[in-house]
Amino acid sequence: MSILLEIRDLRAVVGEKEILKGVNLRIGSGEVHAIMGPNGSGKSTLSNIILGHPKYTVTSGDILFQGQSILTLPTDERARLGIFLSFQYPTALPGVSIGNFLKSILKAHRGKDVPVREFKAELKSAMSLLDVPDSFISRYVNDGFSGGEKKKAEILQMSLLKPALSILDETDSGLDIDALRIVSAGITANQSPERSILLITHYQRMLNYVVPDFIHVFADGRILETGGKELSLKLEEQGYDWILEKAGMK
Amino acid sequence: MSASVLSAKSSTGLLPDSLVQWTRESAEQFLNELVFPKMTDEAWRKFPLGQLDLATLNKNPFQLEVVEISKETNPSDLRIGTAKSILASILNSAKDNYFALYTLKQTHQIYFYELGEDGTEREFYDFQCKLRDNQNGNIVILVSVAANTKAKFRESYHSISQTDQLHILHSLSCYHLKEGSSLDILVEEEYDENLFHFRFIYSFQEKESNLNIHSFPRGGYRGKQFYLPELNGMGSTYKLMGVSSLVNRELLDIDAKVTHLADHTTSKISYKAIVNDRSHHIFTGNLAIPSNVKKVSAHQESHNLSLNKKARAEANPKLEVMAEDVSCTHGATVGDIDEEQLFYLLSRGLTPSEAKSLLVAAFYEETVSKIPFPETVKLNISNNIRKSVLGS
Repeated sequence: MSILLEIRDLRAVVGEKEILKGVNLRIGSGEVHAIMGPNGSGKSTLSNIILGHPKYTVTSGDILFQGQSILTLPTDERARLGIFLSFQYPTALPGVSIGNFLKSILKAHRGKDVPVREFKAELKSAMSLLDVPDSFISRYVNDGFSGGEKKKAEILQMSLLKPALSILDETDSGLDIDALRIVSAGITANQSPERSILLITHYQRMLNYVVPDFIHVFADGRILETGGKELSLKLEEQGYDWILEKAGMK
Repeated sequence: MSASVLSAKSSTGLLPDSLVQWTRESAEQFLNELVFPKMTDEAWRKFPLGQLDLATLNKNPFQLEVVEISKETNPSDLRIGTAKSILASILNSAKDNYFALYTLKQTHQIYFYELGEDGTEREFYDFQCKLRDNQNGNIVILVSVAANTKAKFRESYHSISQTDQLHILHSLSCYHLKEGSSLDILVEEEYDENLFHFRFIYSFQEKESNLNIHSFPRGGYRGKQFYLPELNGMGSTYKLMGVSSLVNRELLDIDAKVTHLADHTTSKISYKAIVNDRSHHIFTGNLAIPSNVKKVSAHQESHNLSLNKKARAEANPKLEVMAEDVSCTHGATVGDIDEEQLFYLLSRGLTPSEAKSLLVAAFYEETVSKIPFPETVKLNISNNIRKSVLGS
């Protein structure tokens, strides 16, 4: 199995404060990884840094995607290589309809306009998975959306773009049980031997639907423990304290 | 034929010289009582009046090309009476406004549209005014909408050639809405870089009438606009929506003063400006509600997008609310492209330039999409704004 994403001893700061303190992670093609950890541990920061958010500065280490360092690449190039981030709090774009937005991002990825008929067919298939009405398309992106609608709009984009690596940052937060089931089905429909998923979550509940191959416990800016899916059940029962104690942090 | 039937028919045309002369003389009388505004006057604080030499500028001939207007040969007494009554209302409201009176005093062209049930299939009335080379312009339009009638009207003011000489355009529009009528006005302006432009937009509204103004000014050298709506009839509603697009060293200073003179009246102003290069936009929203008026709802917001650190956009809300039983809100934002929105689009694979274009388009599309005019008209406005502020 080839390695899709490799993070080597990554350190990063925001202002003077060190947020990532030596992260190491390897994700193979087709694998599903989950990162769990307490609030404020740097999980979301890691996802933003993989996409090159200008707020953060990488001080050492490297991020390799398909064997090439992407640290010097701007965000849009990283995205076009096949890295997708489903945001925890996706920003609203008043004035930009979902339909126009999806057409624009597909064009950016494919390097040419997508024929209308082809676009409609792809969109219909992606929307049917997520149980969203046709009227969704004419609404402005994330403007006045409920938590569930925002997450569905993120997964809709992921389904159309078909990225090699999807990073899902707390996609389960703010979802009721029905929305969680639908969004999870949308995510699993995107799984394939070529496409990998990195799931960032607080809770075990989404992992019942999107079953990970590996679980990493993230605290204080690095990964402290890695295990199989059984690790999430232990975390659900015992919390994070035992890991923090083991690492001498408590 | 009864008077009421006559008033419900549409008729358009240039008013006769005798009425234009009466207007000029009446305005001159008021003007003689006033002195030229000073830059210390509140309304002119931001405008470089010192650069304006009216006597020299007005030496050029006043000449405008106006499309779709015929000379009136034999207007009825009723029609003359209606026009004169509207002009008298404007004079009364304008008696302290030097430049509005100046416009009326200098005018040679007053166009009068009476809009009613005319049985035609036209989508909207179209008034196009074109300014060529270094010509000066001075134009007055009156639009009166018959009771319980709906109408759409487009006004376009365009410089159709460039000149290296400063010149000037004065324009005054007045909308008179009779009881239960509704009027959507679309105003498009595109001026050359050497044009001083002064524009006055008066409106008088009777009971239960609705006036919606959609305004999209671009270009010019120095511009000043006054929106001066009066809500005279109970239950009347006034809305002003617009987007100004400025580049280079253009300046546009807009004053909107909404006067609520009747109970249960509603006003809403939602104005946007996009400034690039070293341009400067000022939007001042004034609200006047006398103490005897009840159940008024007034909302004003001004949003500004700056595409260059050297460009300036100002939003100044001012409220003169003497009444108690009213609901008033106001809000203003001035900012450049939102960093989080930009990152979101970049993370979806759009280049920085594509992302910026999309966000600028989103800013004006929200307003353009609400214009109740045909899609081709809206598309044209969007394209013009994009070309103006983004150059492509």
